[in-house]
Amino acid sequence: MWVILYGVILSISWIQIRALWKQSLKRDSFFYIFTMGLSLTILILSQLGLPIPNPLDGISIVYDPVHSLFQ
Amino acid sequence: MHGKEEINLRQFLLFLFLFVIGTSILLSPSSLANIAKESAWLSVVVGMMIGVAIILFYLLISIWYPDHNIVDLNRLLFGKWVGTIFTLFFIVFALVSAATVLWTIGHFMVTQMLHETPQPFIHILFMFVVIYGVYLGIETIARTSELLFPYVVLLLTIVFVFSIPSMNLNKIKPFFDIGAQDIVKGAWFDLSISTFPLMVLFMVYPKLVQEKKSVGKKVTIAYILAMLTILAATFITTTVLGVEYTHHHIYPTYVLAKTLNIEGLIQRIEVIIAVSWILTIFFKLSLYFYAAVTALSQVLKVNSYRSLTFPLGIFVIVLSLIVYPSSIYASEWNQTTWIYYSATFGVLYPLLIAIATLIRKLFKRS
Repeated sequence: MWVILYGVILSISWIQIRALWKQSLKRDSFFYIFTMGLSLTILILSQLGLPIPNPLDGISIVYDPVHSLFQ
Repeated sequence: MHGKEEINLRQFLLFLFLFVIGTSILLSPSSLANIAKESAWLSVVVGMMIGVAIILFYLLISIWYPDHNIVDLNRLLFGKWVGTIFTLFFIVFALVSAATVLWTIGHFMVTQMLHETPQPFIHILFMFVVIYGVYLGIETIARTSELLFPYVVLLLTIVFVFSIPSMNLNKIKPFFDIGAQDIVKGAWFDLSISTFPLMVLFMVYPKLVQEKKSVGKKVTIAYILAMLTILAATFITTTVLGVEYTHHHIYPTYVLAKTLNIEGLIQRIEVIIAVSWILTIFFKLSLYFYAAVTALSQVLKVNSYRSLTFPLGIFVIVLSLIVYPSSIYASEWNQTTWIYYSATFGVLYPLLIAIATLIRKLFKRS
């Protein structure tokens, strides 16, 4: 199942990046590849079961003093 | 393609309505019954009163800056660097909210309807629809909202009206037994789900809506109607199921529709509430995602936000897989961090904008 998903993602990206490249929108295609690379990296890491830092934990640390203030 | 898109006021009001009832119609009753016990419905009333004030405050800001969205406002008021940092915080807020909403619908489907399906695939299927909607633009989503709004209202009305016979007012007695502090706490929780995230709609409202006749009245009425729907959901779940039973379930409105029975003729209509919830969630998620994508594309100065839609959509899917490890973590996080996190963007940030505007006006005069 995951193979199908990766196939779909890569083929859609290929079509879109090629379209961007044909319109010579280099900035757009650079950011496309960058964000897509980042997302796919995290997706593969979570697939492999490696620990990924949860952004909500970071937000919790910031708001912990506020929470204890209101308690 | 910025600036060419345009939606009319009615479509924006539908957005407001669907956004407010989005997740809270299923999530609020449980948490409110936990926080405010028998006075859960009173919490929603208090929340509605505070919410109207907040909505009018947002409107005031949108009247000051009729053709700026959040990113333009940040750049105008706080300068290039600080403004960009604020915008990045806003984008993170929108992305995190989108991921948590996506997780909620996935968890709902897995625990209540599709028990055998792996959760990631529900996230993927749901998010692909949202990505396609945002890719086609805000006008398409707006027209879809006009198309689907009657179904949401009709289905919810069916559930609410048919539960009236099984209501038992003794279940929410004694009235006003709990202290005012807990009622306000419940109101705050309700606002944090429904009202504070309305800040996200600043990416849509003043800039993309052209006609602005008697906005204040219409927006207030739409907001009050949406809050009344939440009030009805909370009141009916607590009176039919009882307070204890309501807060033991994560999705009490769904359980309510399950127990509904009219003379043995109409029963097991819980799919109705699931359908209406999927529709409202779709709009809430689309608006969060639209705000994140358009804000990021404006910061990165790319040609069109469409080119960022698909990669960011995959990013939201990935984020939704890691944000909540479990439903216990989710409810804990919602009650200890989310209420402050969304209040930062829903209350503090508009206040900051208002103060900056006042300072600007003072300097201009002198």
